Amino acid sequence: MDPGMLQRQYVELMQASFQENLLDDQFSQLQQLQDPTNPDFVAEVVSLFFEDSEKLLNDLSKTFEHNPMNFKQIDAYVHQFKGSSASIGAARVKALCVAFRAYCEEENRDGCWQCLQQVKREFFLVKTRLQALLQLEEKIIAAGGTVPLLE
Amino acid sequence: MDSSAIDRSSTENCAAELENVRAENAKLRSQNEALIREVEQLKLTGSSRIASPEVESSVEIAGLLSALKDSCISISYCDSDLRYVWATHFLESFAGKIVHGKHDDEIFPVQTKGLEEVTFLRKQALESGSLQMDYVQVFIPDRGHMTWLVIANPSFGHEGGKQEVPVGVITTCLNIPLAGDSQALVRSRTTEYELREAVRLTEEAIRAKNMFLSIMSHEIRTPLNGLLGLAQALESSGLDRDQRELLQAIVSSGTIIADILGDILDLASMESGAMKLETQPFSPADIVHEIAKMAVAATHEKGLEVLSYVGKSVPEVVIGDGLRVRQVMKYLVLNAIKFTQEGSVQIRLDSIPMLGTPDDPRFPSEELVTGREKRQKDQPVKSGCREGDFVLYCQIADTGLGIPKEAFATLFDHFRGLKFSSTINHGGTGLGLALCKQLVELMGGRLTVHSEVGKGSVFTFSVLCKSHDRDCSPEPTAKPVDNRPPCNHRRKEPKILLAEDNKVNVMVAISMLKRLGFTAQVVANGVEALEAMRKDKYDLVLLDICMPLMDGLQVAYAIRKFEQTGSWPEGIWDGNDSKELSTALEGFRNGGREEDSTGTSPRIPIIAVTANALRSDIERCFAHGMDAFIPKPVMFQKLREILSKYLPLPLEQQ
Repeated sequence: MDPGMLQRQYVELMQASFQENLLDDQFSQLQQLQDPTNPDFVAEVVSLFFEDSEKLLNDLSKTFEHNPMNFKQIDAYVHQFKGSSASIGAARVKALCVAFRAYCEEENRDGCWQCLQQVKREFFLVKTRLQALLQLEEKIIAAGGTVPLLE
Repeated sequence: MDSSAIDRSSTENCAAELENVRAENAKLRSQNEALIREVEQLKLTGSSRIASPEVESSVEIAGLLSALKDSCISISYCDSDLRYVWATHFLESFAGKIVHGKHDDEIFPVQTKGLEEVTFLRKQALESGSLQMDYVQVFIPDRGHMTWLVIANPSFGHEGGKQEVPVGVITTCLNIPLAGDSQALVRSRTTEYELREAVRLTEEAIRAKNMFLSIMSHEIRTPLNGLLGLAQALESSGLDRDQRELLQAIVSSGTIIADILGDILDLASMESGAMKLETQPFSPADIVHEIAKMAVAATHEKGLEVLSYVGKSVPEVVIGDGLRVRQVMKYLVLNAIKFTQEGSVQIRLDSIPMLGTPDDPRFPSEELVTGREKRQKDQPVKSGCREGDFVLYCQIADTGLGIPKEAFATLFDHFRGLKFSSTINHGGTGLGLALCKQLVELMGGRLTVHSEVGKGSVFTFSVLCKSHDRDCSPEPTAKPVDNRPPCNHRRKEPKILLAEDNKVNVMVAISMLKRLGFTAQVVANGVEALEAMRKDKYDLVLLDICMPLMDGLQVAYAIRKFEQTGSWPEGIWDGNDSKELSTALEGFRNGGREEDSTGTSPRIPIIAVTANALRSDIERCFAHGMDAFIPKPVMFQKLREILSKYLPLPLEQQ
């Protein structure tokens, strides 16, 4: 397959991700950290992020089953999630976490519940996007091309 | 003979004796009185135009007075009513008449000025019984203005039997011929004491200035770090392109300020003698290559050529202050780049061994002789240099604008006036060359410049370093079973401790550190962090603030406490509320001053890593003893920038 077309697709997808604020500069930083001494860095970090986040979201959902709710615990989880999504560059997820924490502070159960649903949705979106991008990268390399790095 | 006869004869004898004695006594008394009279006469006798018969016997005294009469010093004797008793001719020639028995105002013409002062001095002498002296401006008609040194000396007599009462005053007047404007010499009352005072005050002022600069810089640094951190946080909060650009301008201005503060602190600490140079092994060639790389990046748009050359005689490793050498070289190179629009910038490094004998033809010329040694005039040139010492000799040449001759005189002064474009962020300050010169001189070298307007400039500096082979003392932590030879040139890799509980963050951080050439020990909470600190020695700690069990603030506090007292604080292990601790933390509030550590251990750099970049949070970090902070999510450039302040950066992999 012609790597040129794949590369164009990749670039368009990356640009769209930035424009939609799905991903931000931090993700570019991660891409720049990948080099011959660290060839699969992005893929590794991203998969760690998926793993970690899924577990976290699970734990978060469970806390809503408690009565009374332990907002401190929820806040702690959200704090973690905020940290890792920020490190990955999942900008929208991170922004939601900020709002989520505000609700936790208010001890607003409904607000928290809403946020949880939104966060799950956003996580799913960014996960899908990241997986698509990584797949494109693999295809480009398989086709003999190099993955373009956006400035 | 009977007893009564004997008695009678002895009585007669005694009476005769008595008569003799009485006669003798009378003679003596009259002689004595005559003598006294003579003396009194002598005292009272005036000018010896006619030597009175009473003083014939005192020829010597007459001779003295005669000599005095013709001298050009005015000496006079006045009684307690200030009437002249006698005076030398000199005075009388002023007066134009005989002065005996007269007051001053009866002798001198009316327009005479200065008489009151002389009278005053005489009265003072009589009243106080001690010598009075002063300069008096005198004007005598037909003679003109003069400056006299007037000395009034009381003379003591026997009035009323008391010996100590002044009965007259001897006045000596010396005409001091002075040129017109050296009257000021007379009026000037600057004494040695006043000069000493002035010097002391000046030195105190300089000390105060340096302390002020130091304190203010630290005080400014803290909120500045906060500002830059906030800007970083803002940057990652989803901005559009315009906002991003504005923010970058803000950050770059802030960075310039931070650099200026750094320069000020360096200068102040150098002036107050507080700056200590390192004596650590470093590789001069590595420094040149690093800076060359940086120069290439900085001249990317201009298209300048960057050339570097390291002489064959430059040793691989020398001992000295590599950080300062790098600082100077970097500044000069950036300066060269700033002022060069086309052509090239060259960095050239050579070395010349100091061989310790002035006769050796390879001994460096006077020009290379260290600035410090030149000041010690009496010491031989080779003092301080031993066999195995090197002079590192670095030249930075550019094909730029050049420096006009008029600027040379003030080139190395603080705050020289050469303008530079404010849109170019070089971190450059008016302090730069002054700082470089002082640093170079502190390292035993000299900084000089040759330049031609339109052609370019060459900055040259030399520093004194020791050869690594000679000065090889075994490191205290050297492993005894090491098979390598004692002079191991491998640079000791810095040990970093990373405390972070989020796995994703850890992976990213490790990768960034790896890119910078560092490895790190990872712990997941505060307790583990302290455990690691107790077991091992680290060169730097990266602390996440929000960790379970014990947060970063408590960890920092504990570490500082240990550094200062040698023991770990109690109560910290059971997760006490850090608010209680913070009230006792004033001692650690410290914007990163390294020289403040008075405790048992050297101060380890502690860097806070936190998503909370509010001012109060940042202040709390510093209050707990942190030296700097990096906002989350961690950006590579920021990490590199902060780490490079505390650790030497190993060569980067591009």
